[in-house]
Amino acid sequence: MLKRQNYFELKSQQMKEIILDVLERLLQMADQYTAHLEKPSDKKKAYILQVEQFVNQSEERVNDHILELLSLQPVAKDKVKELFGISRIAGLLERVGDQLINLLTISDGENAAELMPMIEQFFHYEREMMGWLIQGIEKNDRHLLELVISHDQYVNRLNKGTYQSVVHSVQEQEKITESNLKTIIMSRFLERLGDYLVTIAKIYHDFLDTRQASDE
Amino acid sequence: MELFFQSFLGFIGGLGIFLYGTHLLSNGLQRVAASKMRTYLTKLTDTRLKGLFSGILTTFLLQSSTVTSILLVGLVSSSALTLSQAFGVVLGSAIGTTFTVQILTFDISMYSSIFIFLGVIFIIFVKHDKWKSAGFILLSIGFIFFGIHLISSALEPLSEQARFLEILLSLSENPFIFAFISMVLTALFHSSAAMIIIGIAFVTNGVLTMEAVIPLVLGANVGSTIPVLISSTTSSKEGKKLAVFYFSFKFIGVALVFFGLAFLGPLMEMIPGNPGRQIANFHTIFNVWIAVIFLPFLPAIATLFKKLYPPKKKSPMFQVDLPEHLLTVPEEGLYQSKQEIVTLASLVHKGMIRRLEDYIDGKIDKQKLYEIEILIDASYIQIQQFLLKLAQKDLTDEQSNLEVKLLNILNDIEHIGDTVIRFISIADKVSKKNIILNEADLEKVKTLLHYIEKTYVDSLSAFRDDDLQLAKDNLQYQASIDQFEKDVKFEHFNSLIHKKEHNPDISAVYLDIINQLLHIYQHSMNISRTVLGLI
Repeated sequence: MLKRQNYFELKSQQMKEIILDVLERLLQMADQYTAHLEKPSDKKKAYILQVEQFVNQSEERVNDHILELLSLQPVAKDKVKELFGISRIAGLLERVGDQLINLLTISDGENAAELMPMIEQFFHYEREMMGWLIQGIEKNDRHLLELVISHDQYVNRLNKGTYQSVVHSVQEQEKITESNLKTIIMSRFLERLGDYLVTIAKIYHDFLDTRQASDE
Repeated sequence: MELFFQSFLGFIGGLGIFLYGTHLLSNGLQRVAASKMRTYLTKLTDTRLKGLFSGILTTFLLQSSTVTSILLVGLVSSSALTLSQAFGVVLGSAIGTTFTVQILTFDISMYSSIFIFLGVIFIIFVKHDKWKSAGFILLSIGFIFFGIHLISSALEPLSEQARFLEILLSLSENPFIFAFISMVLTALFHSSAAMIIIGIAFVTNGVLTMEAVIPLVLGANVGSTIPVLISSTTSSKEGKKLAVFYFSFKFIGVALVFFGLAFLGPLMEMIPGNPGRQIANFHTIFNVWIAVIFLPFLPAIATLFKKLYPPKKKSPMFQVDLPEHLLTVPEEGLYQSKQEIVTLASLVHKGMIRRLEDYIDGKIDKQKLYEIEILIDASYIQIQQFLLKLAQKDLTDEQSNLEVKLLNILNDIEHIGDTVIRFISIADKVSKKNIILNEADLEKVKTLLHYIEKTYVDSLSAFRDDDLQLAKDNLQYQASIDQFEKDVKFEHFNSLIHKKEHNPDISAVYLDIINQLLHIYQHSMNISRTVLGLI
């Protein structure tokens, strides 16, 4: 039997590889960030900034692929939806990178040690979520994507908890310190980071549902 | 008698496994390396000497002088190599085959089971195409050495059989008959290595002396050229030249050695190594020797061959040239098919699309277009038949992908021919019904024709040169043509209204003409899509 290599499928595969590559690098970026908080160094910071640049360029690469595919031939509605979805995923990944840079900017000071426990608590869930996202996208595994979605509640709970503890601390000390403000802002960034991961998981989960429906 | 029968069974079993192993090895290597070797031969064979070395390397890596000669025929036919350079490659190819025998003479039969085991593991348990190919190569190497082991073991007890020895000795006493038998068997096995390995087994088991085996080696050298000679009868003129040269230089070399056969015995003693190695070395030295003799005379020989095979007057009409033997080397078969499709597509351009404007202006007769269409249909059938036969061979994923592309593009070209004929029949209606299209409409038709010609030429260039960017540019321009089509129709209706014209025939014929031209355009775009892989 003859075999053929379809350009559309080839490009789709290339975009999936870019997304997986970006996710892997974001995970490394998160690791480097916590390592930098523990022991700051210019090398680690430079690495984080470099990855952020790579993530931004990857978003452009994905969009170029999509633009090319749409300009070459009429595409079925499901496929157009999928292409828009991939573009959205690339955009969300770029925002995850931005959030990590925001975290780096805010925490790049003397009170990093104070912030470390909260960051570690968030990252405990978010690293796991990124890992499931990578596996889920790579293997088209719905269950892993659902795990990412369901873990959003723990991240939200952490955010709420952080907010309440800061409020409690302000009430006790009867003043708002810089540390309190930083904690609130960072908690919000970390919570958003989780939201982006959840949205990516939902978009990809939706792809798989659409594909299954069209196969049936 | 029972011992003889058992040995005979062992011998033919071993020979079968050996031949199957060499066949499998050559096929496996061809899948991996044929296209690379073709490029290598084209780029690095600018002198006779380089040709000689290219021939050695290509034949050794592909494990088949037949495959090398098929690649050469294509290269000489497309003028990528001169005949003299190609002869250099043929001389090298003869040396390349002797290296196989050199390797086979190493006593590594005991490791054959390792090769077979690893090969089977790769074939059965690894999914990746490249590892599977590697598995087939390992399995084939294992089979070859296992076959040699069986041949050698089967001949061992025969060395004690007086009657068998008597027959063989009486045969070897007449070197001409012995060489002739060896030549015939080699031609039947399609493998000189098999015959020489049998000769080596005779010597190492003490059945025959080294001197007695020399005619067998010489006969095998001539025998290996016979299958190439036979298959060249259905080949192109270039194929015939190469096959005759291959046979001639081997035959002349063997004839020269036969003259000095009496002096070879003492010389053989001077060749280093054990008896098996000495025979392999003799085989190599013989082929190097004839290469050295012939190499300086290759330009003169090439001139002689050109006189013996004068070029035929080229037929003004295109003829498909895809001989059946190309099916044995799928890589070359696909390459040549692509060349034929490109030529056919150029014919459609020059003979049909480019002539349409002249036809509209009444400058050429429609009969010429009909003649081209008949030729296209006949060529389409021939090329498609060849491609479908090729598709039934064991193709790699890459080859299969190219095969699908070729079938699609061929189909589009044939459809363009059909559409041009439909266009003509509609244009005929115009003259029969005395319908006169206005100047503006005719201009629009001609503008559309220019767009179509450009699209077709670009698609064809993208196909010929594997230019993906050109194919993309072509496809990305599609929206402009789509808009042009809408504008043409809109302006046509407005023009009718403006002139207070309401004859529906004018509109129907004009729109029919436009639609037929757009069909040609769509098939041209399909070619670009296929080149890019939108299949």
